[in-house]
Amino acid sequence: MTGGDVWFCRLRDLGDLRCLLSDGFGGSFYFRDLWFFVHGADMVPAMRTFILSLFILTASIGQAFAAVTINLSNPGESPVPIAVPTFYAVNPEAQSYAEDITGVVRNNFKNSTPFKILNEKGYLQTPEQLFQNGPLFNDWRSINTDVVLVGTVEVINGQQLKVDYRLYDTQTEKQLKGHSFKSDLRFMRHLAHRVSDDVYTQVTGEPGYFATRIVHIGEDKGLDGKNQTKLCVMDQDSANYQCLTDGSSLTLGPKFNKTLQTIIYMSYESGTPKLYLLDMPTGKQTIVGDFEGLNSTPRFSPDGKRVAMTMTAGHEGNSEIYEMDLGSRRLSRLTYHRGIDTSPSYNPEGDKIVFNSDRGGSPALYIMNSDGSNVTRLTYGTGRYYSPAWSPRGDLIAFVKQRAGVFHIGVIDPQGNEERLLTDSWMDDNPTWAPNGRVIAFQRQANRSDRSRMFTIDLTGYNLRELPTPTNASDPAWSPLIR
Amino acid sequence: MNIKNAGLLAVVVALSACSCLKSPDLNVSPVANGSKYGESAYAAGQGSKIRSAANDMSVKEKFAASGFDMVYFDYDSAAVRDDAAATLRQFADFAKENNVQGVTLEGHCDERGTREYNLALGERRAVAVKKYLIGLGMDAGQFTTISFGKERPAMDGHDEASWAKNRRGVIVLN
Repeated sequence: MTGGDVWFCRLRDLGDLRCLLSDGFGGSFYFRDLWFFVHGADMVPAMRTFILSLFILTASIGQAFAAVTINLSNPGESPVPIAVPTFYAVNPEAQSYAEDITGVVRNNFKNSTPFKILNEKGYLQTPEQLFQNGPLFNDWRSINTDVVLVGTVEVINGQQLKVDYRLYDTQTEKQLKGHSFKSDLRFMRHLAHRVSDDVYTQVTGEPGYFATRIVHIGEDKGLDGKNQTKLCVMDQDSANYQCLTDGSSLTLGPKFNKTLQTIIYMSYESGTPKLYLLDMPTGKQTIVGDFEGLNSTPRFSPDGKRVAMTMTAGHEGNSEIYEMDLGSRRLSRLTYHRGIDTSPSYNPEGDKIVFNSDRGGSPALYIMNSDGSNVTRLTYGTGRYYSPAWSPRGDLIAFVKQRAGVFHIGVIDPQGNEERLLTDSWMDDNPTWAPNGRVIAFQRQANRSDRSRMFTIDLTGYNLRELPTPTNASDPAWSPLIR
Repeated sequence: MNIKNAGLLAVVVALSACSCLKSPDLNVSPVANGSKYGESAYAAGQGSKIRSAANDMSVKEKFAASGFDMVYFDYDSAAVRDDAAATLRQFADFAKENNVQGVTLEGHCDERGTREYNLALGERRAVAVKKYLIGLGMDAGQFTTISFGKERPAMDGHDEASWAKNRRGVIVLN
């Protein structure tokens, strides 16, 4: 680490692997493209906190060649066969970390559409042989591996973890990419996700989405038999699951801001629905939407400085969309219509908002400028459209469609063309995008049942997967990439 | 209820209710309104639910036994049906006889729609009930409305019979 730049972060407790990005401390996040500041969050003030410094060192290893690629836009494209031998433990205390990191990486690729992970039983080289001799490309080609990921793990001073990886193309026999990461031991999973994201980017040419979290509502029955709704967070692979509220009051629709430092959500904690900001580092809650009637559907603008929301105050039960500037808390009214207007979602530039309205007779999607001007209808198909979510890439809008008793998650482009339905089920709701705009998470209620779980589906409509959660879960909102 | 009266009622409601609303249309900053919006300054129990006076226990018991605390709606509709109108007339009479003060009107939805849309629809239903009661001569100032969307179903079933019971407005005496 170069002269005197010490970054501090606060962690909630020793077992906590929450690893959140901040640009709230000390300005610029990147430091000569080498140093990353990562900090955890202390969400409940009563909990013991302590401060430690943490940094992740990254450094490129060797040359990169772009040879193996996959075009994600083509649904017929075969996945890239990849081998992930167990990372080599440089010292004995690194052994369990090496196994765990390999497991996290393999699981990421197994769940991800562009990859086909090859069973390790077929690998001809041991981790030790790989470490000592490098890959024998003939061997890897013989089991039809296109790329092989070779990694080493080292524990330094019992406190730090150093992970090196090299990604090889077995056809050209060249190294595609290599990198070294270093951080505190407790960020083991984050390092594994960083390696996974690097590989994803190298193979697909697009940003990854593995180092991300999903904030959502955990639903359970309390001891009194009543439904409980809790504000919960987990990594995209369901690890580090934690609920931040006790479930005693109805809580809905949480969203991360772009740094993951703040969650905005709706709660009936006071008896009526209001909007709250939760500052993760301090655990402080602040009310932002406290007007007569409904305060709902909060969404951060992409820059995090504004919030779009639905309110009925002063409109006799008629919901209208407003925007609040978080700095001044000044409100601007965006919609003016007797119909229901709700579920706003910003485009990546923050200058347009797609929303849900029944002003045309039944629920459909509309787009307006973020100052409320120039409202145009987006969807004209048969059925009812709800809950739009603008992709972080900007190219598509996900939505819920209800038609003939069936619910779908679908996508449409911002011009209102190329509508595609990705799912059909008894009840799908609340689509949210992975930050790379390639995967959609949503909630699904099983057929005529109380069971509700979160699922992911690839933009191609393939690879439907349930996100494991300990209880019923709903209202997923995917975080930006954590760096 | 005939919908024709709705426009007139809306005017009445707007006139009578404006003094107690914090209207977001004014583009004022809520921060300036007081410490309530400051960080962590919110005190539980100061919600708008407690705005109106509480009713006697005896009145509440009588009301609970009355059976006219609930009205039902058609799918994706906030129009007060004829059966609902009859119930609301009964309630208005009861309220007058028993000097009811402070009423919370809840709006609920069935599960066949998205969570967010139903929150908006539930508020619309609660206010539709409120407007109807005001039209029957009740004082607008005593009502508080709250939407629970589809989050608090009366019936646990997942069929049309249950949904019909869940699309409801509920009258609660404070």
